[in-house]
Order: sequence, then C-alpha cells, then structure tokens
Amino acid sequence: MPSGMNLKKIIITAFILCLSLLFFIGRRGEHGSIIPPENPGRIISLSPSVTRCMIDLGAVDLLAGITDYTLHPELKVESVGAYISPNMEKIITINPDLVLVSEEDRYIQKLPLLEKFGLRVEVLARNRDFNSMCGNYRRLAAITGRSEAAEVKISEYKNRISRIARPETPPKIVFLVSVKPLVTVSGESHISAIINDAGGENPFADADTAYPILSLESLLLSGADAVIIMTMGYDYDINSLFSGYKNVDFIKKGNVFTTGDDNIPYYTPGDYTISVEKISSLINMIKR
Amino acid sequence: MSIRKVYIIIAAVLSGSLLAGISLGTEIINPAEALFTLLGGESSLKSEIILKVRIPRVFAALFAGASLSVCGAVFQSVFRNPLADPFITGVSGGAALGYSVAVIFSFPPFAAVISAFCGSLFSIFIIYLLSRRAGFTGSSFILSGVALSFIFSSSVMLLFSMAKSESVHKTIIWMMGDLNSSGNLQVTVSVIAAGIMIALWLFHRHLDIIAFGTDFSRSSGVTFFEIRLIIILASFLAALSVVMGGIIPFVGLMVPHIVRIFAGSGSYSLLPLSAAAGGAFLMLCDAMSRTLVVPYEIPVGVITGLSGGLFFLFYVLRSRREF
Repeated sequence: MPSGMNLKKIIITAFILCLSLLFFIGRRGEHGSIIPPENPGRIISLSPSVTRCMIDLGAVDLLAGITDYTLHPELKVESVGAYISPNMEKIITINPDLVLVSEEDRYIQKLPLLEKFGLRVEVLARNRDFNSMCGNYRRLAAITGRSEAAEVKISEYKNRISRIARPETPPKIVFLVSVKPLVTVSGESHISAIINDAGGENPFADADTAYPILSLESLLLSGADAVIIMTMGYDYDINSLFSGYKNVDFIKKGNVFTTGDDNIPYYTPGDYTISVEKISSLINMIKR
Repeated sequence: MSIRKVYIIIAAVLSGSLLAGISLGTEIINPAEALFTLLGGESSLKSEIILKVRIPRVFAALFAGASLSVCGAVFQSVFRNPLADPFITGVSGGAALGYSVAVIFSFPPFAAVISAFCGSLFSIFIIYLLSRRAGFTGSSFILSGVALSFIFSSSVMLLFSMAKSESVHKTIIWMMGDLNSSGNLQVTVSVIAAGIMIALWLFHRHLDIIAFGTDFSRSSGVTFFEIRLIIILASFLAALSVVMGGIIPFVGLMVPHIVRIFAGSGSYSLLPLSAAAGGAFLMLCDAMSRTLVVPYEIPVGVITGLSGGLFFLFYVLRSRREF
C-alpha cells in the first residue's frame, strides 16, 4: 500500500496526465479541420424539416446522413441517430462537407463539438411564417445548386395559398398540439401563421412562448369558433373529449376537428402549403 | 397551541382554499352561480365551468394533496427520516416510465394515465418482493427506492433520447403535475384514496410505536408484516395521487413537517390534520397555477416545488444547530 504522501503524488500526476490528454485531444480537433468544398457533395441534415426541404428540392443524392423520423420508405440514406440525440461520432466518421440544422433545433444539437472537429455547420434561420420558410428554402437551394427549381416550387406554393378561399370574418381557431395536458400554439409558432393564412384567427397568438399550457376553462371561455386537435399517432374520440358542455359554442355546434401530424409540425414551404389547405378545409366545415 | 385550536385553524384554511379553488381561475366566478344551477336554475357557461371543470379539479387537488401528505407523514414515521417523501419508494419513477412509454408509443391519453399507474404499481411490486426476500423494513426500503428511481429515470432518459421532441415536451409537462385533466376517473380514484387514508389512520398506534425504532416496535408486538403492509398501503396511496394529478413534488415532504410543528408527532391527529392541510395546500397551489398567468397555466408542480424549496431553506436555517 502506498503511503499517504505517495498516494497524493499519484493522484496529482494522474490528474495532470488527464488534463494534458484532454488538451491534446482538443488541439488535435482544431488542427484537423477539413476545408469544405464550394459545392458540398455530402450533406448531413440534423433537422427533419431540412431533410424534407432537401427531398422537395430533389437533392436527396447529396444527403449522406439524416436524423430519424424523416425516413421515407424510398429514401436510402444512412441514419445518424435520433433527432434529439444524434450520434456525434457517426457524423464525424461520415465526415460530410456540410451539416445542416434549423435554428429551432440548434440548442438540442451539439454544434460546437462538430465545429471543433472542423465540420462546416450551417444553421438555417427561424421559421415563423411562409416567407421565412421560403428564405431558408432558397438558401438551401443555393447551397445545393437548385435555385431555379426552388423558384418554380415557391411560385407554385404561393399560387396554391393565394387560391384558398377565406371567410369574410376570420373564425377564432384554437389549435391544440396536445389534449392531456392541454397545450396550444401562440404567434411564436409557425402553426399560428398557418391558421392566419387559412383564413382563421388564433385567440392565443399573444403568448410569449410558442406552445403555452392552457387551462381547460380558458379554452372554454376563449370564445373560439372551432378547436383543431393535432393527433399524434392516435385518433381521439372527439365526442367524448368535450362532452357535456351545453353552453360552449364550439362544442354545441360540433366544431371540434382533428388533423394529422404528417405536415403541420414541419417548417418547409411544401408542408406549410399542404397544412394551410388542410386547415382551410376544416374552416370551411365550421358551423356558425 | 392546543390541538383543538390547530383543528379549527386547519378547518378554516381548508374551507378558504376550497372557496378559492372554486372561485379563482381564468375569471373570478361567484360560487353562488353554480349553487343556483344546482337548485334548478338555468345553466350558464360560468356555472358549467364551476360544475364540470373547477369542482372535479378542486376535488382531485384536495385528495391528491391529502394522499401525498398522509403518505409523507406515514413514511417519515416508519423510516424515522424527516426527509422521507411519498415518492421515496420509487413510485414517481415508475409512474414517469409508464407515462413516457404511453406517450412515446402513442397510447390514447386515458391509457397514458393508466400506464403511469401501472408503472407505480410495478415499482411497489418490486419493493414488496425485495422486502419479502430480504426481510427488510427500514433504510433498506429507502435504498431500494433510490436504486429503483435511478433505474426508472435512466429508462425514461433512454426513451426520451429516441423520441419525438413533441412527445418529450408532453411528458415533461405531465411530470410537473397535471390537474387540468381531472374527470370521472380522478373522482373515482379519490374515493379509493380516501378509503386507504382511513385504513392507514387505523394503524395510528402502530405508527407511533414504529417511530420509536425497530427493537421497540418488535418488543411491543408490531410485526414485520404490519410494517410492510403500512408501507405498501402508503406507496399505493402515492400511486393513486399520480393518477389524480401527475407527479407533484414536495407536498408530502413539507406539509407533515409543518403540521407536526403545531400538532405534535402523534399519528392520531397528525394523519387527519396532514390530510386536511395537504389538500388545502394543493388546492391553493392549483388555484394559483391557473390564475397567475391567465389564460395560460403554470404546472402545479412548479408552484409546490418553489414553495417547498423556500420552506426547506427556512427549515434548515431554523434548525441549523442540528446540522
């Protein structure tokens, strides 16, 4: 057994060795940086919405890796792990020319680590509405050399949105992303912009957080003309959800609708357009 | 302060909280409107809100708070540990795992609460098996609960790492306490919880004896079976509180402490007074949670956690000589 003094020396030496090793590894990362090419040939997308934009742009051949939950059956691209915890080692091993991520998702990704390993990371701006989504779409198109195709698509999407028939008086639409607990959307979320473009009005647009928790009585007292619930994999029994309220207008008139989560959660011009069309068709079903 | 005065004060606080719970919310509503409807008057939106939203919710808060406090009081006596709380046997970890599985695998909302309850029961079952095999009753229960909590929370983290961010968000909100979903299920569970609280109160003499230590309780005729039964009943009560309002922290830890200061450690009075005070406390916290940022809501667990943290700072400062 080493004496107390020797043990102290061993611990201090081991500590210094560990620190030196960490410093060496860090420096190695800095100097081992890869110079990205002008036109990236191998891209990793860490945001499902970015992946969907790439698919829409016909740039799937440039994808070298994507996070899960964006996998289309026809898409044969390697997964780099789950969306909220991508495998950094795998990304570094793939050694892409570019890593793409959306501003909304940057805080759950370990971007500084990727940059430390010399990977070029592009963070696309926040998607608040159709225009900001188009801005990001154009940027992606410029990176992948598909600007012309992007303009054609954007013009098509704009036409589709402009063709939507909107009611003269916008109905108040409460959009619920969760029923238990009750969570709605505010103006900070792109879903509020979808409601507006579909001809509705979000009574909870003023909240500071994108997805505020709502009390049931606030929902009942909101004066909503309709409630739209986004189903996440299961179908709600709408009749039982708000049964028994005789004095609440949207319940009395049967204006509670559900919609899937195939497009609404994704911030791409294509998904936005489809979502506006879907919400608009529900708005047309509202009984006044 | 005489015990009679304590009973009167807590009864007054309970009545005040009940009134606050029914009147406060998105709009201040006069409870007389609901009474008018109950007596045959025309129903209005406000009376509907009182009868169908606030009363079930206040009911759930009352019984969830009471269950947590009674459970905390029992565990603090049985484990002779002032920091024992209702979730010390891993019930909250099991519930969180059950709920996470349900949300991530897209079970319907009703099934998610049942899944959380099953998770809690699973943790109680493991604790029971361990206690039967190893024959332990005291600190080993706490250690097994801590170990189980770690296993459950790691499993929850594993699920989170593979889940959609919307599912993670939803689960985290539920884990901060959710009385917003109170309905018929919660009211039914409240009745069962009331029965278990009465059953535990019937063990008040046992609890007083157990609080003196294992040797004393054994020589006084309290069997291991009875101790285990008390622990399992209390854990079951904690599991029911999860069904009523999700995972609500600190109520079961803080309320029995405060009641003990005024009413002493005798379980005969401590248990009913803790139940009343716990119910009153949670009703008040719930009223605050839906009144502070109208029309939005703060998870009730945030309010109980903040008040619990402040209470413990005060408690540590007050008893600093003991540390």
